[in-house]
Amino acid sequence: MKQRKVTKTGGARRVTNSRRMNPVHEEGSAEPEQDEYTELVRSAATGDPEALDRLLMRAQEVAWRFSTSVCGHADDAEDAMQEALIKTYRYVGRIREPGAFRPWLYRTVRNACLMGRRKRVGEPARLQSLDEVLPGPHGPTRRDAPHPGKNPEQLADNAGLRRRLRKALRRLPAPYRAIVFLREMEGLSTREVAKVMGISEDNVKTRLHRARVQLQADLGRDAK
Amino acid sequence: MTTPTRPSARCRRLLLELSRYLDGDLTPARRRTVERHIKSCACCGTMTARLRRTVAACRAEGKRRPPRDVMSRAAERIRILVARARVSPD
Repeated sequence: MKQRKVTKTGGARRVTNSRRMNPVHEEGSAEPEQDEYTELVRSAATGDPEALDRLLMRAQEVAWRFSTSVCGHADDAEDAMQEALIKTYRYVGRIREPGAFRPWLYRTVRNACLMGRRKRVGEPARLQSLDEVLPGPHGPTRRDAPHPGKNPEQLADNAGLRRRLRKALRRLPAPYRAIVFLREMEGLSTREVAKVMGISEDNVKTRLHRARVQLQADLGRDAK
Repeated sequence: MTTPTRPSARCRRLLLELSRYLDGDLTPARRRTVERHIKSCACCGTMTARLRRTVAACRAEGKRRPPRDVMSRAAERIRILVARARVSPD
């Protein structure tokens, strides 16, 4: 049983590192994959060629997804994959803490993508203001309401929704896009995302929330 | 439930907690307070439903596999790297 730790920050009491009643995330959703990585890294580090092969393939897949989802340019993806492959290969031999591998891999991939990334013209520098995204007479309720009768769960397999989501993601500033990618799409824990991004866990939560708020507004607007 | 109006100061404060609510990151007492408010406030109820759907859409989009040709090149890179390392371990 994990320890429940209650902290008080900014007037709001929060629960950290706890088993949680979770309306969206399945409890501990990031953990099985973390365990799987840990096992894979352990086996690869002891010279299991099949485990090494799978790990190196995974590293490249992560690099491809990060590059295409966050950096948005398929042209850069193969360079990022190559970088992730070589660094992972070198890292596996001297790994001390298999549990730390996943954040290390994403950090490496992120750095590789950022190094090769050209400054994109028209990339958003900031998020929309709260008034632009809040429901209400002056917010998106009037102009951004989702299509009645449709919701993203029902349309999760719908190519149209996926296209809109990708478009909405591209409108996010890159650091916010990276956090959505790592947390929502790759299933990293808040702590792991904080390590990858080099920011505090509170900062991850705040940025993730802002990104979600903007995404819901964009998805609603594009559904019209 | 009230009809959506201009968000009150309370709604604005609560908005900041909605993601933490959805992530199960609030204390039980705070969670109950937020749930009560969501049920009685159209503005926050709507926003909660939209955020929930947005998270679900992102999850559905997650973990794409690279196309087959990309995977083939990735496998080939591994083969070359491992073969070279065997020849010259350093």
